[in-house]
Amino acid sequence: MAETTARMPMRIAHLYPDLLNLYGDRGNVLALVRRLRLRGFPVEVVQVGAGDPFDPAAFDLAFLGGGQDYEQAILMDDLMRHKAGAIREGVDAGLVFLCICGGFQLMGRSYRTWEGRELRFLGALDLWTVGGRKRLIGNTAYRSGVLAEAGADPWIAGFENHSGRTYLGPGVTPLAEVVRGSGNNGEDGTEGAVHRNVFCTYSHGSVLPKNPAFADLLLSRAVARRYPDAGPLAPLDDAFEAKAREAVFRRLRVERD
Amino acid sequence: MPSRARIRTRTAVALGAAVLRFLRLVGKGATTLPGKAALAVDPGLLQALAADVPVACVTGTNGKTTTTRMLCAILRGRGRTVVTNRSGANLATGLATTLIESRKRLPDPKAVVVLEVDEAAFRRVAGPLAPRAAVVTNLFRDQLDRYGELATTLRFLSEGLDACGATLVANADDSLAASLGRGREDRALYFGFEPGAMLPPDAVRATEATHCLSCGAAYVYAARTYGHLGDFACPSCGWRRPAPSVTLRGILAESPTGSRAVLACGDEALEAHVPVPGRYNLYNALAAVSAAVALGEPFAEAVRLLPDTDVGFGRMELIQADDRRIRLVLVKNPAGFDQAVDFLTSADDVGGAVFALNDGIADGTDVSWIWDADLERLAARDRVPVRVGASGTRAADMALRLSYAGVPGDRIETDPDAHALVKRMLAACPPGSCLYVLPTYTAMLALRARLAAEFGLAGFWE
Repeated sequence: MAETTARMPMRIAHLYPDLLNLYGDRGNVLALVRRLRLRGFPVEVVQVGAGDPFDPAAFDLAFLGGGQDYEQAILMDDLMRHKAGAIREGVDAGLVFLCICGGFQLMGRSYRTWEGRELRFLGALDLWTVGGRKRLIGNTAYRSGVLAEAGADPWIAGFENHSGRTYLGPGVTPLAEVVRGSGNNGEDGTEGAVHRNVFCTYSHGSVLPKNPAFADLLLSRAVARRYPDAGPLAPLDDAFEAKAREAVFRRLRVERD
Repeated sequence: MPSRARIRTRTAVALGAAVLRFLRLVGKGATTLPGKAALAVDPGLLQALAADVPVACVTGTNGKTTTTRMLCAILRGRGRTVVTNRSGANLATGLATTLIESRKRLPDPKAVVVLEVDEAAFRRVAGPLAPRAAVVTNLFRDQLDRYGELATTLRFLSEGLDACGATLVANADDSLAASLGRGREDRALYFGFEPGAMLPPDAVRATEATHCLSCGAAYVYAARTYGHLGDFACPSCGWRRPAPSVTLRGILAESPTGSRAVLACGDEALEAHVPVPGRYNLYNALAAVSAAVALGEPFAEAVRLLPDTDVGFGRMELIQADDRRIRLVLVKNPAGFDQAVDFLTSADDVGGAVFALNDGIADGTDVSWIWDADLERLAARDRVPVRVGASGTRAADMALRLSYAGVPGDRIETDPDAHALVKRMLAACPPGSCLYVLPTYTAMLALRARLAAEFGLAGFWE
């Protein structure tokens, strides 16, 4: 494995890093890079900003974070006119995406502001968002069926801060069920969305560093696409990760199965 | 016969004063409750108390407390009777408490009130306080769980400025703070670094405020200082850094006790001693000197009196702990964290470092901002302290962040009890060295109270 990987780095596209970079988004890219490097994969992170071309076939992973309303408004034109087609192409081709908060919403069909204005989004995933007045903020704990199915630790510890309420259509699966927190909309108990290799969540910031099983699910999909014979990812020492997770679950008084 | 409004004010002040006396009697800081009680009786209290005295407000994300203290030192040195919210209680309730406590000094013809004001509170207190000068130090992303987006903070500040006639004393190098001067050119006084004293644009990593507030195009920087601060210009609509009147022309020397720099105003250029280290404190010095000028004090006097500043209270505060030292560096957001790490990695007396991360309301309940700070530099500069502590209510998150930053796992000591960890690590520091402690706000308050009892520091309201 080491010989095949030594030739070509795993390539991560960080979409709009100077606009979609709300608290902690950077940590997710750090986690992907670190967990690949520790396993001997060279990694290259490419910042794909407004005006830059995006060729989904040139990447193994793409990350779309969240932004403040002002920054998100700036990139909408570039996103819809110059990247929407490529992103949808990437989704259909099985490119691994991580989309968080604003990025999660952007992958959906539309966003209706609470004043009633309808914004058209990427339409890559069967989901839509409605703006709310009250922000949903706080520490969260989720149990992910997708992780359980993959034979991994299904528990995700996170933090959410969003006013949008996202609703899932039949074309996507929830990433997890909400155990603590509000999740997609505070109503139906779902959190995040999964479609092919696209993973969306409202858990922003340090979701990947603190949830190594989730990070490894993304990485194993990306590595398997690039190197079908690579086999499972080597285990890592996640002692610090485990303690950070434990602290959140303990704080939220979550009893895990 | 006194009017009904005056009777209400008197009743409110009497009540606030009684609450204050009682709480101090039982040994409490009492920095907000007296004001809260009094404001409940008379919502117009701030206006009534501040009516006949000049007021200056200091707001912005970082540097409020230090700038306020610098401005107070200058005004005291000029013979003024200074009333200030020394405790740092900067919401309406804290401001009211300060004015009630100092009510007997307010009629003094030499009296001047200098208040640090929370960014969101400024909107509501600016009208009643009618400040002559309002300083906006800078705007960084800070506690999104509490303040919401930067655009919201900007709106709050703008509303406050509309409600008063204050001279706006704003950071020209900060595109966000400087934007408040647009349409207020006749009452704006800017401060900033001269481009020759800045760093090359690619020497600074900045992720905030990258795009023009007016037209959305990406700013171009000719030079930078830190974060998004620098000589910015929008290539599309032409909005650019306004020319500052009070400038930093060059840095002469930086040391653990402070910096020497050349400050300029008009055709005067003077050497200034800023008695607190760190590059961001040079901005605070510029802000304080500019505010003094806005209040009518001579520039040269303001610069001369800067060294009298009594800094401390967790902001670069140096505590002598027998034959070792503790340096408390308050950290609240990624921009401040980056600056604190810069300071730590350039110091040559580091015996150890403790990072104390709490997630209380005043700290921000969301701790993910630690991932936006460039802690990787700790390891990259090969200046990792021998031992690094992770503490606070989110000690485990901090430990994980440090491990990501490249600090070897066996050198990270985790203990949620910051005081116990500091004492343990202090004992392990070589004699003569300094333990650097970087706490968030509530972690700093709790830790400082314990250290104050042990090493004889003043109470936070004194």
